[in-house]
Amino acid sequence: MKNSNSNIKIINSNQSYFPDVREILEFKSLLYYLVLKDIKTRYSQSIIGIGWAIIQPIFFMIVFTIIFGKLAKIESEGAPYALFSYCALVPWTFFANGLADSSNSLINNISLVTHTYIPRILIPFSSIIGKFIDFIITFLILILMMFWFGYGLNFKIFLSIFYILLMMISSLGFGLILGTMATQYRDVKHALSFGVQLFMYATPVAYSTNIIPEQYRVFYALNPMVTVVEGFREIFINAGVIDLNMILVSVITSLVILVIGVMYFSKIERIFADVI
Amino acid sequence: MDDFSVSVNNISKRYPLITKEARHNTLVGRILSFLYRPIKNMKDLRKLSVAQDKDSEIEGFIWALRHIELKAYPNEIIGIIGANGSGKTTLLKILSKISRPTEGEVLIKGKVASLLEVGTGFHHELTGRENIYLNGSVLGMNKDEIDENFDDILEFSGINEYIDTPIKRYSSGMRVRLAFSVAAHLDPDILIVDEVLAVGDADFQKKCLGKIDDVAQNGRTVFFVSHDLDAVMSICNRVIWIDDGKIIEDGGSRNVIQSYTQSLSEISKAEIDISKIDNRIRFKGDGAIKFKKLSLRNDFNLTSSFNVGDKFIIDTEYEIYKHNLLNAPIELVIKIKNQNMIDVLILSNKSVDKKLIVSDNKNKISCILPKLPIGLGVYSIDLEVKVSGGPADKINNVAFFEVLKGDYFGKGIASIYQSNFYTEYLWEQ
Repeated sequence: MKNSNSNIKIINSNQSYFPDVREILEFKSLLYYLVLKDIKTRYSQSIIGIGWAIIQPIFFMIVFTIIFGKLAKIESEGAPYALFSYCALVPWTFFANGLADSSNSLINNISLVTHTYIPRILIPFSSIIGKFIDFIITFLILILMMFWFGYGLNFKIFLSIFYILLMMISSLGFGLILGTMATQYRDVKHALSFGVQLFMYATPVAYSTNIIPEQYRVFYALNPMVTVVEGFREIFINAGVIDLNMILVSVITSLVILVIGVMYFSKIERIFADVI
Repeated sequence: MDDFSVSVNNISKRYPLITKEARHNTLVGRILSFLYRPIKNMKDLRKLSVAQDKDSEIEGFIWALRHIELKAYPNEIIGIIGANGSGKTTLLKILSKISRPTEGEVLIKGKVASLLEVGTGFHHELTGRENIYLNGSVLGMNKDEIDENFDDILEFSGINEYIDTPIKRYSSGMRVRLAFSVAAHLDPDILIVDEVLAVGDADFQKKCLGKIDDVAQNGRTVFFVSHDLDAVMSICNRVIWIDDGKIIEDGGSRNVIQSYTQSLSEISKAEIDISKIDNRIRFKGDGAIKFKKLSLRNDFNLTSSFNVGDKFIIDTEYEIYKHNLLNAPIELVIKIKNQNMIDVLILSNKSVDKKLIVSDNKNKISCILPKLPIGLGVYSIDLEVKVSGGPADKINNVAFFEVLKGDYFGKGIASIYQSNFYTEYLWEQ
């Protein structure tokens, strides 16, 4: 069989900072099956199954409402505290789990890395998408809760697509950087579980951005999840503290992190199988 | 233009050797080394990536492959043989793009599919059907291609009624069958198969070998790694023998396999000067102590030919290179392997809790088997020594000896039945 010259693949040790997009497209159906695997394995042989997706944010909401809402009486911008915190927990839970899952995805799929060749970026990418399914379920619960508390939907809901994208980009960007580091240094895995918890306190999940002095909010928004959480509150319960500067800062940070993540990942990818 | 399908141009691959530091005997020394541990860990982990940078100098590494050159053409089924750790799998991983060479480059025309381990890309919780799609897409097929071949794959694997059962309920044989069926039907230009068929039953193996043959007939190239020299002989038209990261011989199957087996079964002298063997198959340890001499003897004299049940004594002699290690504990491991390179017997002083130390005046260590318990055949010996837990020296296939019929049970005549293994036993009635 005859192959044209352009069909020659070269395998050498040259570094590249960019993913081979043409190759990724060749493997596009793999993405679907990786996501399917992710979801099926997560919830197989479990009684509650996909119900676990909503248990985490709901329980956090209950605990937060008792401790921060009732006991510490934290200001919730006029909205019921339960809804106020759940509205933040929906994107936060996605971000935290997506970050943790994508960071650990390469280590958890070690045999895919060391025994087959696939464009490895699909592995963290598929765990982000897998977590998105959970997000949709928690998101629907949010809508139900809004009706329960007497809030209605309006056209602003379409704006949430913007914040959802920002949320996914941030999660993937951080996930790529940490996941790449984790292949060589397992310390990342250990640091991640409590690091994510600490990060939650740097995000207005249990409290409102209002407690941050106005002149510092632009710096606060260097954490893109600040904008996502406040954006969600603005759209769904009209209780967000957000301005255009914060949005700009967050968008730029998250894009920079994504680009750094993709470049770092692509650079180290060639030695994944050697260092993992 | 040359119509090769794979062209390997002077590739080398190195891996770092992570050594364990010698244990300190003083309290202060131990505390300091404990505090220093994170820095050492960091250095060791960094080595993993630094080793792949060809311009960097690092201390302590091995070349898993060194200056490999080869060209493969359509219609070829190339067998790759060699001892464990000789670099076969490393080569296959580079051809499948799983890992990159440290130096040199590989040119590949067309799609590569590799089966390096049974059912990689399989997932236990998914059903057979889902796994066919998952595995197919891992190997680079799209959904339509898998749909088109689905019935053939199912038929070839012969697991029909279990197709919708999660594969965690499958036997390992069924998994191999499914894995191979997917790979064989995906129409790659280059197929790479590593040792995986050993798990399936004989019938299925035959079917697979037939399929590999078909694949090559259609203008593809197949790389086939196996310890099963009969299988290699029967399907390969070309064989490459790799040892210690280098190609020793590349040519027609019969010739290469012959020289390979000859090299294995050449019974060595009873006394071997190891310092002369040198670096061909010597792994670089930290060189704290090095083997100098090895000899084999029975009750009476030096020999490399034994009878079953003979007294079997291995004498080793070492030389000390780092004198600060005097009195450090030694672990000596002697592996006895059969001709298929399978470990038959591993002798270690650690297993029996015998303390050995680095000593100036007692630099000879012997291992004594009162009765040789292994059956007829030719065996090879691997020697390895660790000082304070860190590898100091290791040499594979340092000696070969043969075992002939013998009187294991001391009945005055050779045993009536020949088995691979002998032991004392009792009967009761």
